[in-house]
Amino acid sequence: MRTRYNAKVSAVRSPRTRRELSEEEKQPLELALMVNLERLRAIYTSCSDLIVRKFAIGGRIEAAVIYIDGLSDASGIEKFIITPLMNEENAEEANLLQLAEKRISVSDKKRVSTMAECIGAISNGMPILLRDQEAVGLACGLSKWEQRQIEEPAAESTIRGPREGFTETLRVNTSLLRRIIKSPLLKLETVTLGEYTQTKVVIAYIEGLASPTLLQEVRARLSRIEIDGILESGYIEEMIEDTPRSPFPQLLSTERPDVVCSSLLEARVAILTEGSPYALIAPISLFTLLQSPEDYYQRFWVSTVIRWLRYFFAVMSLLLPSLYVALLTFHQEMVPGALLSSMATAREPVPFPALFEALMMEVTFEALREAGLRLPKQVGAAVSIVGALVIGQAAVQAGLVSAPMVIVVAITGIASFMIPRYVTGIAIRMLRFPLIILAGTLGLLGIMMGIIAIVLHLCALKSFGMPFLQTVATPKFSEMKDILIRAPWWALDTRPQLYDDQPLSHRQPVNQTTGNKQEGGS
Amino acid sequence: MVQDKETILPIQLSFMLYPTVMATGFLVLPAMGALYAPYDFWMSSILVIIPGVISIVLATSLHKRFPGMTIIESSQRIIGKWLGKLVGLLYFIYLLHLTGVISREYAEFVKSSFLFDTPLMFISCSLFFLAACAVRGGVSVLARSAVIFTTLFIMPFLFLLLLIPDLNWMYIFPMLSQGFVPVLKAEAVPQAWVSELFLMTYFLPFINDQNKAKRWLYMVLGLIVISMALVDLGVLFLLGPDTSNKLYPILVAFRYMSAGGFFENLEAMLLAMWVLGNFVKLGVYLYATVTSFSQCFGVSDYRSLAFPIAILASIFSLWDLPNTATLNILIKKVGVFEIPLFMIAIPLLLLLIAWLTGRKGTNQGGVNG
Repeated sequence: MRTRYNAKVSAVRSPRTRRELSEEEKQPLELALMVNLERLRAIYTSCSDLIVRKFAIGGRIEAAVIYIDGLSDASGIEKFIITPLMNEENAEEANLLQLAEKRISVSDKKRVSTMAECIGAISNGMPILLRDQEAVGLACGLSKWEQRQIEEPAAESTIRGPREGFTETLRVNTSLLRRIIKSPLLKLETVTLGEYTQTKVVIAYIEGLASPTLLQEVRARLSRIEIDGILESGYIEEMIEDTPRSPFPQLLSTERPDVVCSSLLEARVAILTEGSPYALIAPISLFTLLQSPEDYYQRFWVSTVIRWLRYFFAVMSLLLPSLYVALLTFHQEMVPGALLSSMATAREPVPFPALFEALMMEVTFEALREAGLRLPKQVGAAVSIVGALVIGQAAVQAGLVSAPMVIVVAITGIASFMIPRYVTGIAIRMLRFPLIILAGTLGLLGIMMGIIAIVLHLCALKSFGMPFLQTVATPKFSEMKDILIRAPWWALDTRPQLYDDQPLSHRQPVNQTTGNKQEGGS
Repeated sequence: MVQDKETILPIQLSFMLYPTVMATGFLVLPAMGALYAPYDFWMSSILVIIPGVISIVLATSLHKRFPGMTIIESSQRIIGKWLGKLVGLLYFIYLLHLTGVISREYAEFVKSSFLFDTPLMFISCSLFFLAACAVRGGVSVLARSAVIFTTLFIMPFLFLLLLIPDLNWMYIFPMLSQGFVPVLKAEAVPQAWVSELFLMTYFLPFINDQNKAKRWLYMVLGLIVISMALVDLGVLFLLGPDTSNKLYPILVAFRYMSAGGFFENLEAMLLAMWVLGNFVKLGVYLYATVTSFSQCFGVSDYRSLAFPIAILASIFSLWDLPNTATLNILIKKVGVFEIPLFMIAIPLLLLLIAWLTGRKGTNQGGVNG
């Protein structure tokens, strides 16, 4: 089955708005050191953090080191560049590169010959070494800046599993990936995006597993992006998605390196961005959005049962308020007799119809939840008390809402928090509101119409050409064992076949060669 | 707009065909059968396997002779271009009419049993809108959604097991008290329904593995026969000879259900699953209508036709059917002959002509997307 990529997005801007390289930037380096320094100073006017350190190699030849304070390792520059060169005796004979080989002990060195390259190196924290009477400079790898420690990701914590999360530095993130996947088949391609931010973006994949069409498509979509700046991987995500207008995300964003590595091992592609701890994974299906990494670290019975619970509550979080409204407004006969009379008693003092009551409560709950995200810790406790007491108790006693409604909202809230990925939870929460309105106007028929519309949308949705509901709607029984249940590890012996041109056949050998009869058989 | 060839799996085809027959079948067929054979109508639901097999054989043989072509395209090869286009036009108009009638049946059920004051047009148009969205998305979207919806459609039937304590097994007797002829009379309406399986001719061009498709098609026919027989028997055991007095016997069955004083009055669940089943049926019919039009008139992209043709079909849901009684007469007296004419008689004739003149589709027929 050939796939067709429905790539219709890119923030394409007209060439007129792109910042062209100015004339100064295109110029090559001149022989005279003073000319080069003047030009650099002119480009970096009013940049008070640019440092130009002139010195003389061996006391005779003029040279200079240019770097930005705060981005480069100042003491390293002193120790490894300036001091050895100052002590050099045969300065006139060697050119810069030979000098560098002899004296400079920095391992990462790059030649620069135009102004644009110099600027690129300086902005990335690499100091430029220039020598008089030479039209070539040297960029040394001495970047050093303050960065966050590796911590557990706040939104994706697990009970069992590694507690490392990505940070904002790209090199740290790629090193985390390398520590897990040590094979040299893990390829990392760099792309620079963003006119003013010049952000480095890395495409990670395992050669031999990932489909070539997918790689081509990822590269093509990234290269189409023309934007002023990339501040977070979310910018990239919206711009390379198949259908950015859909409420469902078509790329997975995660802070955990183990999630990224398991996706790479399943022949997917990851995109890491400098300055963002969130990696993007493509392609995905709806069930990826409902999985938690802990599913694979716990034993299979626990995982299977919790998975079923999660699916049930995901559906609950979408449908429970609308079912409540529909049953109470249109289909009272479906509610069991005793329950009906107690509900009627509870709803008697409430002046609003069930639809309005439900909408009011749901909106209030969403507001509470969102407010709770941004409160400092000291105030957080007070808000939860306020929420529980005021909204729950007092509103019921005042007759503004009924007690069953509060229970429904509470269960729905808990159900939506059961979904491990925050974005999926939001998508489902958003869709809940139109369903409530449909339920209040058309009853169960309205809910069915809404469900049909949502399922139709999901059936048409594609993530990088792969249908969003692949394993279920295009039934592949061999892959269902990781969706309907979580099969034990000795049974998970196939890779998902995402595209037709995936190189390796979908067998991933899993062998349990020794083991007790109790473990191996069941 | 050039697009890659879409494909569907045989299993998706069977998931699409099951509600095509059974969505309205569950509701109206038992009463229609019970009118002629009050105790034996369940036998007619087993006999229905014969027209079912004929439909499957017709569709698959036509497709084997003219691979990649639906009946509209192959008729142009068999009896010449202009006569073939005439046949295509006939199919288009008939399918338009039939789509309208189906949506009318659906809307009648919803309005008369649940939403009493809602206008018929609103109910049928809302479903048409969703079906048109599905057709617009293409065959693969329709097929994928059919898999999900048919699964949900079948599930509430497990609730019928709750009726077991209330069933009276003695209602099956007397068997064949007036001979076999009433069974054949009772067969009239169900055979029209099952011959609708011929609509698979619009989907076979998208399937890669034809042998597997045949297996799945016979499986779905078997499933249809079994479910119809079970529902007929269930309704017979519950209501006895009173079945023909009810318009929708299965609605009565769902209303009757009560388990421990807790699960009661589950007819809203019947409504829910009926919406899903009818959505798939309407989507399949609408797709067949749109494809007939586009292949008859040579339109390259059928997707843009989905909404206009849906509007046309919605008019047919009201035209010439002033009330439920007329609709019933249409089904009982006219549909019995009309539907098999288009689903069995004309294809049989075309196949005979093709066989006699030895025409085959040598090159890929080119399904228009």
